[in-house]
Amino acid sequence: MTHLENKIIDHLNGELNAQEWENIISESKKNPETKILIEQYKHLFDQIDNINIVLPDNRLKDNFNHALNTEIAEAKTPQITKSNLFKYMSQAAILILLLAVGLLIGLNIKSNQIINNYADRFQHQQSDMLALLQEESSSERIKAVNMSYGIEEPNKQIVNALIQTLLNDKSDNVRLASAEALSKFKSNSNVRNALIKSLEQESDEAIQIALINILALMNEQRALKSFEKIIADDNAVNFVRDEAYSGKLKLIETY
Amino acid sequence: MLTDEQIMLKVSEGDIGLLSTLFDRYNIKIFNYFLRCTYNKSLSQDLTQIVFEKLIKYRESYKQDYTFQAWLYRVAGNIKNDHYRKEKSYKSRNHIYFDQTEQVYDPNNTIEKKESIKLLHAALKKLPADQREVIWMTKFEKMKYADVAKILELSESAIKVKVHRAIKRLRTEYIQLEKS
Repeated sequence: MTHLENKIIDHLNGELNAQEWENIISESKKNPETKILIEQYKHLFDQIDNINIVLPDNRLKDNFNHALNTEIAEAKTPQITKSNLFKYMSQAAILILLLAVGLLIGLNIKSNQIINNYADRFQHQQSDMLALLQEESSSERIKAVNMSYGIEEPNKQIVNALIQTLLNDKSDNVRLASAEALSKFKSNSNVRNALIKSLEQESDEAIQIALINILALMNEQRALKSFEKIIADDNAVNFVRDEAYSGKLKLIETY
Repeated sequence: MLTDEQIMLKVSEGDIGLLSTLFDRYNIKIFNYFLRCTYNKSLSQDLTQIVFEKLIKYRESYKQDYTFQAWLYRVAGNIKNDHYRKEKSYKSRNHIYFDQTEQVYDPNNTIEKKESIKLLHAALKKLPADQREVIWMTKFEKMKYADVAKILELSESAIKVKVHRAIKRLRTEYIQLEKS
């Protein structure tokens, strides 16, 4: 039957010669099972042709256009070569000098305005980031996490939002991005606590490894217990246990 | 009208804006390819976005020894594999599964036809992901075995065997569902 089925599939794919197909048709007249099989395959192929496609939503096109426009704008930026480097540097030096003079002159007059603008910009960045973190799409939430790198002095609200994302986001990729974003707040005790807590509850190996590295680099001695727990866990994946072991050595060496 | 490959040639010469034509030609196909593999709309949308971001970023790595379609599906296949490697399971714990009853409205669809298509979806869902993948590429996308072979890094004859196995299994699942 399998051989016959192959022939029928070949025929329906347009890959069987006419003579062979004639032989199968003759056989089907004698054998009702063959006839049924041919009908079933024909029906299946018809159904496949009838299957509908599903359309993605408009965000896909919007995001693509945004990425493409960014790339086009970057491509238009002139490249600095060795031959014109000196020229650019001289121009840059003059520009910096002029800016510095301008700044000094305007500083007294416009200091309040500058502070207000800065505060506005910061407020916008912060609210954009917090709004994006609530998006359904994980790529949008990753964008939000990445925005935190651009915020010069993230406040408590932003750090807490990143912590909540690290501990509770459903997407592995988003949690991983949050762990990496939080790694720059070495001195923040809430961040350190959250990283330890995350390592205790995290099941994704990629994130476990990132957390082990971050905590070892932070020289967070309290993580030693979690590292040892992973090393002793027979169900843990070998490469995670190896990473935990190497993290443990780093902590012991730096203690 | 420029072919995909001619567009990529122009893109490599600096006409990056033409990538939007390729996006228009392929975004729905790639989205449906992921959808047939993952049965998750939101995830498929995210993965499709990554494919086209990579198309922009790695446009210069395209080589003319592949058809553009084969190259793009290869990128999509790698992204899908990376995702599964991270998720470890095709049925990731947090995903909301795509509702099979969701269809594009078509006034020519009779109730009987709709039922058959629903059965086909259900039968496809019972197939392993790699079998769904080859069916999608060869039957829905009408790709040549040679192109699929390049995408999946297998021989043409291996692809033919895979396709035959997938279709046989699909028939079995479809008949069983029809009976039940």
